[in-house]
Amino acid sequence: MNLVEVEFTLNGERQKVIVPPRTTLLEVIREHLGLTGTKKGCGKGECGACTVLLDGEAVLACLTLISQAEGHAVTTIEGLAKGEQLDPLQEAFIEEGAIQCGYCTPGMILSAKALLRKNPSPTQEEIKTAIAGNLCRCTGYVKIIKAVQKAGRRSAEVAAHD
Amino acid sequence: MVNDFRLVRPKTLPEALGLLDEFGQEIEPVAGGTDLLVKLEDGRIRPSQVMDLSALNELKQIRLVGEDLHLGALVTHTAVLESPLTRTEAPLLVMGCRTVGSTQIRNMGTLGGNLATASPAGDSIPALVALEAKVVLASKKGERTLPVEDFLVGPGKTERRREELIKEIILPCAREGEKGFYNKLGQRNALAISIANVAVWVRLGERKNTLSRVRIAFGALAPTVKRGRMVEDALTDRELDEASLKGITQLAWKEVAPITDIRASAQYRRDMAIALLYQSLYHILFLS
Repeated sequence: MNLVEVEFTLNGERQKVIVPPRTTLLEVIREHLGLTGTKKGCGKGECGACTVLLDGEAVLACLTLISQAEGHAVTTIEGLAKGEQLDPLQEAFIEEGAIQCGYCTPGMILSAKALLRKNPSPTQEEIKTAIAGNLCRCTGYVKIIKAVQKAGRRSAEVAAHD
Repeated sequence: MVNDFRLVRPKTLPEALGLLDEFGQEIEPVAGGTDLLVKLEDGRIRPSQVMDLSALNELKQIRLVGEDLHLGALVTHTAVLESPLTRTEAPLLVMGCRTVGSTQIRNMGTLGGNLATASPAGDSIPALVALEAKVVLASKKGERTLPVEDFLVGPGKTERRREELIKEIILPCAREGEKGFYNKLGQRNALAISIANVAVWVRLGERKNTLSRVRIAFGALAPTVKRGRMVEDALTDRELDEASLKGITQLAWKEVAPITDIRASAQYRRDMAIALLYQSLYHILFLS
């Protein structure tokens, strides 16, 4: 049978999967490894619901062949919280009411995470650019942008205290 | 549903070229995958083999070689935006790459992939054509270099032979007195396929408001990205003001050959070619 073996880390844990080569990273994460936080939306790279981090950069899991993850570090929404302690972005999204139906939220938070890693205090325009590939049909984006700004400020404060 | 292809994963360029030499007719190379995966998913292509290029780190470099910038085929649009080299040496290309898709698409999509896909609306291509960039094609038998403009044959069609891989793109470094502007019209500001776009590169003339060299490339306005040589000639070595600029840029409608599709009519595209060109030159001459 035509199968491909791929090793990568998912949320810090080493994974080895043996799957048909046509399998996407999204299918592996959801169907094979059972982490359903990453959503499938359009399947064409237009909605951003499947956004995950590959070595810290936001990518679309629906357009990534599993072999392209070989040797890389993948982070999904399940990998952000440390035990019971939510990521500052997750906390800020809850506090600001930046979630309505929630379908876009995992991708939205991961796009924001990639932004804050490079740029801890982004302007409103920089946030808009970073999340332009993540569609939300509920919130109107205003509260999402506020939440990202808040998380950025909070991370900066935490870093200053450390 | 994606068909059940076989996957090859070369670790080096020679290995990849060896595979293409043997099985080129059956192999579809995948770089960022942002176009290919969509085509695989809806069955528009059904290759028997796919070559995952992601391990070829040698094609991810941006290097300064003499007066030229060499960009590996697997350099992503994000790498172009973030590299200190491209920022100083190829600001026009940076402007083009900034308008590609979304952050995620720019993180995945590559310059080589954008060229190989050869969409008439590919956003990095007009900048490459206006900069007179060259594309280096490698095969087991050797390399050949051709201008990006000649590499593009039609929508989705290029001069790449099945046994070849795009190795790198070479463009001349920016010099003192040169300016560029990239202007895109999409249905919205982000994640939009170009309705029309234009890249303009100029060398400023010695006299005020003159241009000694002009290169213009139109995107989404013809079957391939197209140079606007008539307008270039008309703009060169003459004093330009708002009125003459307005007159000369009208010539653009003769250079382009747009189609009507779901995004816009041919007539609207022609009008926008003129408007985008006028805005770009106005910006270069009077606002920067």
